Amino acid sequence: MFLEINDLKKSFGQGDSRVQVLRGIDLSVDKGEICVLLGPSGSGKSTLLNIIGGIDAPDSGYVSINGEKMVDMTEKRLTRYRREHLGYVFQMYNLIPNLNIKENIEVGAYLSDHPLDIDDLLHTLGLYEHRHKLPNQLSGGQQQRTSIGRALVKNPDILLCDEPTGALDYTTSKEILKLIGDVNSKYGNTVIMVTHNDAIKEMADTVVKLRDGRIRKAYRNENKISAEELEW
Amino acid sequence: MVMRNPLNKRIFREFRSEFGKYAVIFLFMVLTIGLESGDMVASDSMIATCNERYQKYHVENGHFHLKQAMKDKAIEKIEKDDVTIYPDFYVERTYQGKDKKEKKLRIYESRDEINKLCIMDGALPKNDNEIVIDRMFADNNKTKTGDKLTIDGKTYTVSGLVSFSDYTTMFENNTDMMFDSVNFGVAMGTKEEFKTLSEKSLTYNYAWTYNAGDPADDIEEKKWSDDLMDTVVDAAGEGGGATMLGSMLGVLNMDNGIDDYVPRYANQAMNFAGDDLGSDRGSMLAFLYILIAVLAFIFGVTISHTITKESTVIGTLRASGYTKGELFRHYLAMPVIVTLIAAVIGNILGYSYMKQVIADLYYSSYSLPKYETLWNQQAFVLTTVVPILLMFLVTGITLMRKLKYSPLQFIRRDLTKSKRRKAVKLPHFSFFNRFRLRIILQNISGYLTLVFGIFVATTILLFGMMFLPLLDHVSKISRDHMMAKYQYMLKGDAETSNKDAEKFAAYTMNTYMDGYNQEAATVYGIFDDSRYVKTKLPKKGAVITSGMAEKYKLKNGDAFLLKEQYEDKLIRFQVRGILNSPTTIGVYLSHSYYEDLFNVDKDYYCAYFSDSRITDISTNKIFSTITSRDVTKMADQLKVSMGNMFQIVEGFAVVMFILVVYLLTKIILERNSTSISMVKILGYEDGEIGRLYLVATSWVVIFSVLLSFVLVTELIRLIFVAFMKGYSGWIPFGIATNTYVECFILTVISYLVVAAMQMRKIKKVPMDEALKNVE
Repeated sequence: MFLEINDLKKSFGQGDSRVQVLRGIDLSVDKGEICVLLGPSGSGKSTLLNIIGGIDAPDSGYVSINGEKMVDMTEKRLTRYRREHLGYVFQMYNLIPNLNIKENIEVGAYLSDHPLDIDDLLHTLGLYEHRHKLPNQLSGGQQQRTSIGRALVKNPDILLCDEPTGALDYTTSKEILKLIGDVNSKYGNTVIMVTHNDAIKEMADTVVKLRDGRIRKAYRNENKISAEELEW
Repeated sequence: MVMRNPLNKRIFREFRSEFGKYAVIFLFMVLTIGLESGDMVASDSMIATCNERYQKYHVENGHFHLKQAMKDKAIEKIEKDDVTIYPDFYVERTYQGKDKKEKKLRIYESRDEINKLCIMDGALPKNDNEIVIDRMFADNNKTKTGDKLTIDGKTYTVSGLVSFSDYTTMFENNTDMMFDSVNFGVAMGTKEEFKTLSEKSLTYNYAWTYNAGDPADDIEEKKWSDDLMDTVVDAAGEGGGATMLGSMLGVLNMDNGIDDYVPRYANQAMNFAGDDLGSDRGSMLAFLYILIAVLAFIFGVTISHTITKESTVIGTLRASGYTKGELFRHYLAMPVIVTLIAAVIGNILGYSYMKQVIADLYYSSYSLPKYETLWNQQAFVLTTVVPILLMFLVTGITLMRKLKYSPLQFIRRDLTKSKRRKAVKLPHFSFFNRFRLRIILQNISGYLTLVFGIFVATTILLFGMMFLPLLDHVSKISRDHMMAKYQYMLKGDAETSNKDAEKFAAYTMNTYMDGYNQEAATVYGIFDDSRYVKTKLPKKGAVITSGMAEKYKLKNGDAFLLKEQYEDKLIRFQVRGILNSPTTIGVYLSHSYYEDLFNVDKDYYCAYFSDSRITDISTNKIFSTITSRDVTKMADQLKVSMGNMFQIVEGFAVVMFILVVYLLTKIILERNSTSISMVKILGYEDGEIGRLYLVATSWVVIFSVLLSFVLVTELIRLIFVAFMKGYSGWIPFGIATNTYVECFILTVISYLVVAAMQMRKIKKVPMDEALKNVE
């Protein structure tokens, strides 16, 4: 198994105000599949994603990728790990305002020894014509495409997406989801996507539903459809 | 192919977008580094030239004057002491200068062997009607090569301007308190012409050099020259020999034929300039480093603000795999690059334009020979490496503190250690005032930084503004507290019929106290019922000047030591009273006590006080005269030579004040742009928002300036007292009330300039800012 999560627990706060966010998560994801983490606010899905991404640490349990346990890694090793294997997309695009679109993608390319061809990627993202513009000259959807480009350009093993369509309208959201689906097929990256939009589960290979820090339901989606066909 | 970090592209864009800010910071650094580097390069090169000139121009180890020429036998006798004697005769002539004042020229016999000349312009005289004169004297008297001077009815053409290797400063007499290169100069004609000139009068000046080379230090030089003096006195054929006391005071017995004996170490004309070159280096370097620290501090605050602003971007980059080190280098690049470029350009400026400016400054005071610019490693380190290190250190520490958070904390904008505080309960002020107080409380860290920035700027401003009034005050109190309008120090006995004249005894010793440099203190022996020293002097014990009491923290009943200037003998005194003379270091004794201490007769005297000029004592018999012009000369000279510098410091401080207040208030406004945008949406007008935010800042600025006055005064007092401890004499510290008022007005005007700029910024905050940033 490519990604394995074993009895993962995490809590925040102390004493009476201590909140258990993850109460023992077990999960495995195959290489190259799309895994959607669903759940309402406070269900622990973002915390789970952050732990998978190595930017948060569990209280107990572990995450292993390709057989390597992240809990054993030093901070330096973790940074290296993220650099070599992970790409991050957040709800807010967090682009660098004084770099143009192409340069923002170069920021990601710099981290990889074998980055994808940037112009090629810009075409895939539909941003080639806009490559010399600054982020504030683009729409929200175009900015999110750029942030996906920045995460993808280093050709990561895993693309972690935290509510990537949370700030976008219906049409733009579908465009972005299509893009994620397309790059998954084109480049074969494993995608782990957190969302509270139930409809998105239809495009996943694996669906994981969380509530109160526990997995309520996890299943393989045998009737996977393309993002274009999604409706909500 | 290794890809260059694309983040680097931001550096130039950041520079372009904040051009004004960086340009001012850059200019500040370039000018200060340039000035400092120029000063070090020029003064060190000139010091090297000054030191090399002893060899290069074969400068004497000393000289003496005799009443008549020495016979060959006498010279042979002296030269047995392993010295070489060179006749270096001169005549003195006066002429009327272009300013209609009388000018005195000391014209030397053609010098081929000793104390050679450095030609600065033109050529040495070839014809009898040609003369070369000192370059400095020529400049001060607007005389150029080719000009004509009429001396004793004969017209001479100035064939060139020169620097005499033994006159870098125009001291007419070695005992003068200050040089005068406007009315006194040195010159040289041809051998033939000198013969003609010397028919009327001639000074038999002899120079000597030690065959064994230069003595190792002043103590050895003093010993050698004292030994030689005995031989000279003997050889001059008159016998006698000067007493040790006499030699120390430069007082020589007139009857033995010698009327001046000046070894090199005691020769002011030779040493004064060299000692002054580079003497202000410490304070200039301190100024440079304070400036760099302030600029680094501004950079630090800016970076800290940028990191807070870009928190989510940084979090994303860190989550993507950017290391702390990469981000550290990225944010550090701008300040270090700006400092590096400023240091490089500053140093280029230092080696070219600024070096010339500083050299011109020195050349306008001293008659220095031509110098060669030397590569100055120390200047490079102190003006390039140290500023960069300082910048690296200050901004580096800020960055390390700011970048220590985890990627998740950056993404969540969770960059403060402290938990959310409860709102402070405020008194029942008006709504606007409560709002303003809230602004201050919410931005307390920004405002505290502002207080500190203002403190530094006010320190420099007050420092620049206080000196001219202080020097005026010093001149005034020095004049007001003079014992008499004239004070004559004699070479020996000399009677006068002047009714105002009053005899006294005087002897120069050195202070001898822990933690202080030794300095000359005059010990006075005052006869009873003096009309000039009105304080009652005790039978035993000393009355000291208030300047001495303040400097050495002495009070009634305390004991202190004075040391013989060139020997280890110490004398212990007890303070029995304090005489109001705030700028002098002096010890007043009753004559009877003086007699006991120094073993002199009961009617011994060597000086006169007088309120009117004494005209019936030959100038030959007067060692020196001290008038009100002499006691204020130092302050006056400082005002002339440093007045411009104080104005530069003031200007500098004002720009710095504006820069500090502008940058820090800009950051506060930027932090509050969402709130500003929000109150705009609520319907507040720009003027009202300005009143809210700018009045809050005005309160802080005014409070900071006033607080700074109190702290800065104490700080400057500490620095000043420590500084004066290392110098001779005493200047009582004080900042005039007017200085505070002027300083306050200046800061308020500067702040108004900033407030106007910030008002424009407030107007520009768009209303959608508040909506856009909500996540």
